[in-house]
Amino acid sequence: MKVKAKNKLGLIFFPAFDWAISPSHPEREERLLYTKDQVLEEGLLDIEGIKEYNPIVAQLKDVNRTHICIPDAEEIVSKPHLISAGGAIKAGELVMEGEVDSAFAIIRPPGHHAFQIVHGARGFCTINNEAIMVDYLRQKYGSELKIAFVDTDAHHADGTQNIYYNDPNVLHISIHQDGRTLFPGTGSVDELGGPGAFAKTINLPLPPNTTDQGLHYALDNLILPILDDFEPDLVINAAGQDNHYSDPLTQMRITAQGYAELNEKLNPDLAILQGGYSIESALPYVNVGIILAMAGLDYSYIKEPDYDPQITEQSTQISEDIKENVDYLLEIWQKRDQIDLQERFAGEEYYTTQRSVFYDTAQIREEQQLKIRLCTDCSGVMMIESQALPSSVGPAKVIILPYQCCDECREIGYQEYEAAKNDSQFVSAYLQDKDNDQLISSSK
Amino acid sequence: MLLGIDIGGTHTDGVLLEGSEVVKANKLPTDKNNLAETILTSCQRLIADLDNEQVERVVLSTTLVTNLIMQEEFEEVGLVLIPGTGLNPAWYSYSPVSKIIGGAVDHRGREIEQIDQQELKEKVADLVAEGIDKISICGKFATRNPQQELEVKEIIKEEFPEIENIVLSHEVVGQLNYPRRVATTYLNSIVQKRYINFVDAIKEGLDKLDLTVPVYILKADGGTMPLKDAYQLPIESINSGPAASIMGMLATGEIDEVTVGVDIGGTTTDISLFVDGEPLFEPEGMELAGYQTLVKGLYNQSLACGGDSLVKVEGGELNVGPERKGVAACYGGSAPTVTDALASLGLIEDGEQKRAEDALKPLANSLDLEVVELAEQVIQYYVTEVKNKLEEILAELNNRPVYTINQLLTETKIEPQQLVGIGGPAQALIPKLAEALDLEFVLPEQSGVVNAIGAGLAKVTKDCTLYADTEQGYCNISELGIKKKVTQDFNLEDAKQEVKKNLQEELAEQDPEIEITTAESFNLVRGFRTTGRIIEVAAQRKPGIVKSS
Ligand SMILES: [Zn+2]
Ligand SMILES: [Zn+2]
Ligand SMILES: [Zn+2]
Repeated sequence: MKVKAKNKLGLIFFPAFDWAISPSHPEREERLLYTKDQVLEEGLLDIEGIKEYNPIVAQLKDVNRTHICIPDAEEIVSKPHLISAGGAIKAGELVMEGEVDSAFAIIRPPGHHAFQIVHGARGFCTINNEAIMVDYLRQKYGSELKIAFVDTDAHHADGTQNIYYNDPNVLHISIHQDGRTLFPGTGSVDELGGPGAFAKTINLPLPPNTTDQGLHYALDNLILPILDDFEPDLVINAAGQDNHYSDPLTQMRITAQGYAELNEKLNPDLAILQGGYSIESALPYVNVGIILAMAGLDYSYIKEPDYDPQITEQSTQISEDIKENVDYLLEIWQKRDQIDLQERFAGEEYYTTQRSVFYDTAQIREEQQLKIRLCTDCSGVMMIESQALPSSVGPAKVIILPYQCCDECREIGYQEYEAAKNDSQFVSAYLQDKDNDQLISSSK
Repeated sequence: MLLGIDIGGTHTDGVLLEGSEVVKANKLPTDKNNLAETILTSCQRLIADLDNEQVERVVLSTTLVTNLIMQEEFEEVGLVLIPGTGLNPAWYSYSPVSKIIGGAVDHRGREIEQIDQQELKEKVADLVAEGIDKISICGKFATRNPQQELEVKEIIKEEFPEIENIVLSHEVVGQLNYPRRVATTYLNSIVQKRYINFVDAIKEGLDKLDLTVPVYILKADGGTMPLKDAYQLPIESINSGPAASIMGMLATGEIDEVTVGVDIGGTTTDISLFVDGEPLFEPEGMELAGYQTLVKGLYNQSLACGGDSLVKVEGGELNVGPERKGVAACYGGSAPTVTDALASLGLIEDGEQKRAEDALKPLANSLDLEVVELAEQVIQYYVTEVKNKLEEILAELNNRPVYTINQLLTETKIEPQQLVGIGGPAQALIPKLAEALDLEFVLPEQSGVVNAIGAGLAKVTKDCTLYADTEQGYCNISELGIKKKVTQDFNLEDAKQEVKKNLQEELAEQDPEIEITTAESFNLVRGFRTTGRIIEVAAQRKPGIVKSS
């Protein structure tokens, strides 16, 4: 009589009913209210094998392992952020400790728009919950862990991509509504990772009005084959739900069935909620669908109140556009080891680039000058000059020593840090040493 | 004076109370085939030398409903389910004659798919053809909007006069959790007729004894309900045995702060908890015979180890329980038990120490121990079992999911300070247990009839939940059948007053103490504008002990 789940699922359901970015912001108290009602009314928590856990509260140390907050983490990060990140960490630990087969963290605020360097909130995210979790797990269980992200939020996961852009052990796949039609604008097929991690960043932009058909075409023909090749230790679904056909912020047409089937096929070790602001018409059904799919249970009875079977049909133009991008990316993936990186990243000793990061939530613009050492022994020391405006903090220099950093890169990194400390150009200097799990800083 | 009667599996205990003092007590064997007769005999003996006028009320704690469900002695009841979207409805089609019909209500109580009258009539006609005359109707989110359940009931009443009894899920329970609401409603329906017969037999018997006082039934939540409610909600009386024991401890032990309650039975040890001197509730509803229900109950966890549990040696290892081979050797039984370990140490006054020693001797020999050493090990074994169970319970309770940042950061942990123990070997075992747990302990007097005292002194309890949606302009209290219009400015404070007022009327007592257990209000924001509020307030008259005159 009792329903038993096929897979043991840990659920970190933390709706933070007493917290909002501001009273009428999409990230407000009400966001997961109807999801809670649906989860309770369905009796999901009575199913044997589905167990609910509280988040832990992440430490500032956990934030500093992933981010460089300017001026510092105390200034930028508040308790709600630490609890949301702690929800992701709890989910990761449950899986790593073998207490559950997989875990789903339904937490808020989301994280995937938060970059390595953090000056404030952007895209409703301040710190990157899933990256903080991944780095926590790598610290605890070994930095050689191979991680694959599949970010299915409608917005390009520019933050998570940024954090792992040059990290060869982390494969970051993002599928999203085409950046030419939606915030944050990035995520084109040609963003493929830095010199130390080429083709470990994969972006598949989907045309507006893509339906379950297009999503599953991409899954079957691009994502699942790449994952098979990469053989990750952990697969993480950054489970944004703003692709839903009823979402007010996007133009995609995914259904609850489409999401559930995606999770059944992907079979992620972890799912972490991202965006999704159709709080009454989508979230209750999508979340129940994902929970059932992850638990290995029948989800075929889940349907939105206004569901119409025709919603899964898409134009041939959309199908063709998706196929073209899928073919293009698959070819790059298959030839990733034959590509001449020296030529592609056209540098002598360093690959250099610059970018502008807009913090829509905090209304800040940041200019970054980026240098990555083209190194044959490790993925290369990274140096960033960052200036945010308006900001009460002056220009900063950030040095990041990657995991498994070689001695030469390490030495260069420390020299650069010492030089930046004495350079009047910079108000502050930071050095993040992943192998030694520390962030050091100085400011004038 | 008050009468309390606790019908157990083997014994029925009765007490006559004046204030909280036991004036008279008796213990009778339970006649399983005629519970009413056993109860009436107990009553008769208790009031024998009394002027009936002096008796104020009778409270019964019975196992009838539990037995009927466990032994699957019930009638067929048709289930009409309106599940809408969600889980596979086959998972909770509990009745062998379940019918799933179209129609749906969403999480905010909006009708999103209408009932198909034709389909409904065809399916009910099938039920009637199978000889069904009782139907339970359960709609998903019916507690948010009972309209579809009411509509289905109307249609069935009109078209199928042969259906004599119709029960609606929103009237049985007011909380969310559809599968549990279905189970609770279904179980309630299948036992209802037998239960009514039982209650009527008792009333008739009491009339013959010329005892025309109000009769109350003890519920799983440690409170009582008047007979008018018991007719409607017999399911509330499941698991009243542990509730009687917990209320008995509350009445006879000096319970304050955080207290662990331990009731040592023959083959089990029941563990309960009191926080700030009040019994703790089971976070979810009661579970019975594999059914998960929404019946509210007191927190109680059973350990399969008690005073009569068999002591044995297997593969050179000492083991205790879970089997029982009759009473302890010191009371004339044949096999060594936990109680015998106590008796061999001279800790059981009315047991024969020599017989206990003889029963333990062969086991002691096989382990190369003195009887005294073995006895200590048996006690240690038992104490460790209880300690582990308690740790498990506390870990579970102290990690209950919370949904607000404030709760996550401030929730205080339950840390026991004292132990209260009842049951046969409590006198001997509780001090040892308290020592191992490093707790103070209390041993109530009247240990033998504590359950009947608990039943006799329990107050009437009742709880309900108000849900208001001011954007849609309604508020309802499902269990009380209240649905009314509210204006945009109806707020949390109004909601609390509304619940209190209605619960007070329902209890019909002078100033019952009513506690608000949940109070939440969410602003509905649509397009950067606040368009209304969603309010949920739950209130209860919590269990307690009557101070009788
Ligand atoms: Zn994405
Ligand atoms: Zn998004
Ligand atoms: Zn290097």
